Amino acid sequence: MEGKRKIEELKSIVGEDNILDSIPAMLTYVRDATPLRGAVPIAVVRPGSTREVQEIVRWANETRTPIYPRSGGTSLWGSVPVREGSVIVDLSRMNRVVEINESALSCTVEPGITFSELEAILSRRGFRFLMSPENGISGTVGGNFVTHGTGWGAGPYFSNMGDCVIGCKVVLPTAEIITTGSMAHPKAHGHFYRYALANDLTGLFCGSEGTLGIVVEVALKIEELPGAMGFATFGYKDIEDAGRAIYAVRRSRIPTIYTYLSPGWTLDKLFPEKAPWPHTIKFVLEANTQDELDIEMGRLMRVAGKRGTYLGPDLSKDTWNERYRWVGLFGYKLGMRVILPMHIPVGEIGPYYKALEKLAGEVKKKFGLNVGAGGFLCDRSFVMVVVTYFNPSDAAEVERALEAWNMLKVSLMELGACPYRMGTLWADQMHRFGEYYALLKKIKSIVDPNGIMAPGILGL
Amino acid sequence: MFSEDLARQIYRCARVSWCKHPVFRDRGIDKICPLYEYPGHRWESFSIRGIISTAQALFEGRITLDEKIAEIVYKCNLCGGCHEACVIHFPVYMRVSEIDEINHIRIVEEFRKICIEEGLLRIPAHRNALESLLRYGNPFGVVRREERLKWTEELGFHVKLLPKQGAEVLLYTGSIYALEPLVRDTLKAVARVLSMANVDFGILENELDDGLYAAQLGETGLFESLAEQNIKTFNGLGVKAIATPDPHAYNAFKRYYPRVGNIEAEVLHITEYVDMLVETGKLKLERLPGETVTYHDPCNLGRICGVYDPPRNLIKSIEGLDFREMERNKNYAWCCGAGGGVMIAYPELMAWTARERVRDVEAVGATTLITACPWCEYSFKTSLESTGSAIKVRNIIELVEKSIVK
Repeated sequence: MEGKRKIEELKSIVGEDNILDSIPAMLTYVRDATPLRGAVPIAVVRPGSTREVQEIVRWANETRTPIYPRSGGTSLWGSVPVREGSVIVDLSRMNRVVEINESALSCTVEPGITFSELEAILSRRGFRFLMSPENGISGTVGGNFVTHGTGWGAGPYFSNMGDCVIGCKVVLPTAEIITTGSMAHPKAHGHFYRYALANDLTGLFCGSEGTLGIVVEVALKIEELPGAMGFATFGYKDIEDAGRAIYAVRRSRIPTIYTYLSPGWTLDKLFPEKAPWPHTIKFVLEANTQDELDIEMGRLMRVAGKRGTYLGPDLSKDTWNERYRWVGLFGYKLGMRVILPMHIPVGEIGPYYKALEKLAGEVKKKFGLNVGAGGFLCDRSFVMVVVTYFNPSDAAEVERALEAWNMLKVSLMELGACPYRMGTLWADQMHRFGEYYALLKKIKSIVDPNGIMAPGILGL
Repeated sequence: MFSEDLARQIYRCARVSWCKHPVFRDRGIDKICPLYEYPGHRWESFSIRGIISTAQALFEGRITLDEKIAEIVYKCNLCGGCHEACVIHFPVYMRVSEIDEINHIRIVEEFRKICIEEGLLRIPAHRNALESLLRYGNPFGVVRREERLKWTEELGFHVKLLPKQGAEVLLYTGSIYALEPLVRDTLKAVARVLSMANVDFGILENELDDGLYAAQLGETGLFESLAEQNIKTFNGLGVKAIATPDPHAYNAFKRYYPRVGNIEAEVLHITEYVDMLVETGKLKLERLPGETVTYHDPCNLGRICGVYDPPRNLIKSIEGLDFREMERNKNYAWCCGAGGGVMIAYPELMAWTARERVRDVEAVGATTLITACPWCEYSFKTSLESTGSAIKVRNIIELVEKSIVK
């Protein structure tokens, strides 16, 4: 009875066409791109404006209904509803470009726009954004911001979405609307400076995964399209040498926008017909002019080539050109997968990958599953991507994959690797972050006194 | 319930959502799925990713179906666009080894079958079509079998009627060509072209629907019955080839009938057959007055059965035609909207889908939209009528007929 009343109330906010309450039809909304499944909500609503989001949040507060914001639904860390009786707020209708502000070199977008959609719009104006996730086809700006995602474009100067965002507009859990950065100043001419006024409140929402409010606008830095791009691939016999090469390239501030390491033992599994593979690094560089690029490519050849063998430009170039679709190879060639991305210091790549290779052996022995790995440069960090493959049709194997996933996450954390993009996957480990977690909980209780926003995510 | 193979397939969905997003935007392809894109839809549940999620829950016995799901699965036009976009089949990379294939169309058909079993097919148009197929052998409610032969009266020459008379080639017309006046001219053009090439052909005196419609709506038993009857008829004719201008029939014979039995004769789409006649010099084509044309790949012929070149060969054989390829072409072609039962049950969805395609035609500056399918012809003709567009819709065989050196 209460559920029916709630649905009628929600209909009055978003309209009949923008609410879904069929249980079979809602099941896709309680999943991301992992095998994890969340609690079935009472409804999915699809607001079309900030005002509607505000009304939904106000209603949720009044009725004490948990709400879970959602955009692309392609997370890989269990971004699924935890509480029963919730409402999912699907932000896919909010996919407009609010403004392209050339004077501030910024663009403001709604959260549901995908990176490939935005790229097409910006490139027509001669601009681009600085970073996108690997699945830029269905990955959304809002989703990547609230999970401080990283990916294509990460290099010596930008590590994740946080570095590429100037400000945001958020509907807080108590239904007030806050704008951060320069736009918090009522007379400011747009989003042009993130660190205006006092604290960096943009950072409060970057990585909050919907627990502190619903992000309804994100202002991104934009730049002109690069004048020249260069591509190079190197092979290394020793993973330590490959790690040293990445560190040296980073330390030399060579302008890479993509530096991807594929350990030989993973390539051997993916392409056994060409085994044994060296540890392979793909570099993509950009520069303002061809002359500048030539100089930087020369530096790359010297620095990366010191301990490795140059394998030509093609592998890197092909990967870049197919960058949004590249996930198809790494992700699925050996079966379905669960992924664990972990940050490690850029100067410690070799030891970490050696440790990971050992862990992969343990997973194979204990669970009978293949583990692959990749990783990419992310400023002073390196994102170590750990992939556990499984047969999705075999329920027992899926369970083993989830166990292996959890084992790997704990083992890598013990080694000092830092998790990010936590979802529900890391909820059981949050207590290990001591006072940091305690402060997060305090902030949460102040900003969201009724605990309606994405309860259970991040262990909050 | 899902067969063992399909049950495996539904767990292969990687949930990357490429089935509802423009995977090939950088190649000018900005939409994949008519069902998802239709205004007012755009719920994830209206994408194959959503349908597969529900299928998994159904397979695991966690849910019972409801009318919303029935609405979703019956609004799918089975165009296979999602199949092309699926990360699991992504063509840049080699086929995956352990997880090989997801047959998205079969999954939706299986879902429809379950809807029928659970009494959830309540769309009157579909129920009538199925009843008509059962009783009269066509989905359009035409009671008298003789109606299927009426088009031959306007030909001006006699067409052999099989099996009374013998022939080398069976021209299988398909129900829509034989019974729908809006597209019947194509069928007459086909007969005249075959006649001008001196092909020894005939049609069935009592042609029965190919049954694809039943299979696609989930009425498997009816499909099997129609297929069995047709296979028996075909194999008793002694023909060397069966040529059909209807890609739905072609798809049925090539891809669905092997589940039931084997057709002994070679099955060809009419574009394949006529292309062969041109290639071997049995037909000579001459110049037509200059016209800017483009070609729409019918889903059942192109994406599903892989026939892309023969219709294009024919267009290119006709001098004077300025052929321009649409950006979304071949396996990435946007659907006309008529397939999967949508034409009968959801004409507005069909018309919207067709109008979306017409934008592609306009974008390349074509004044004539050529296709090779009666369902596409019907969809485009009726949809264009309502917009007042000056674009002409022609079947490639009509143009071939016009250009034949007599």
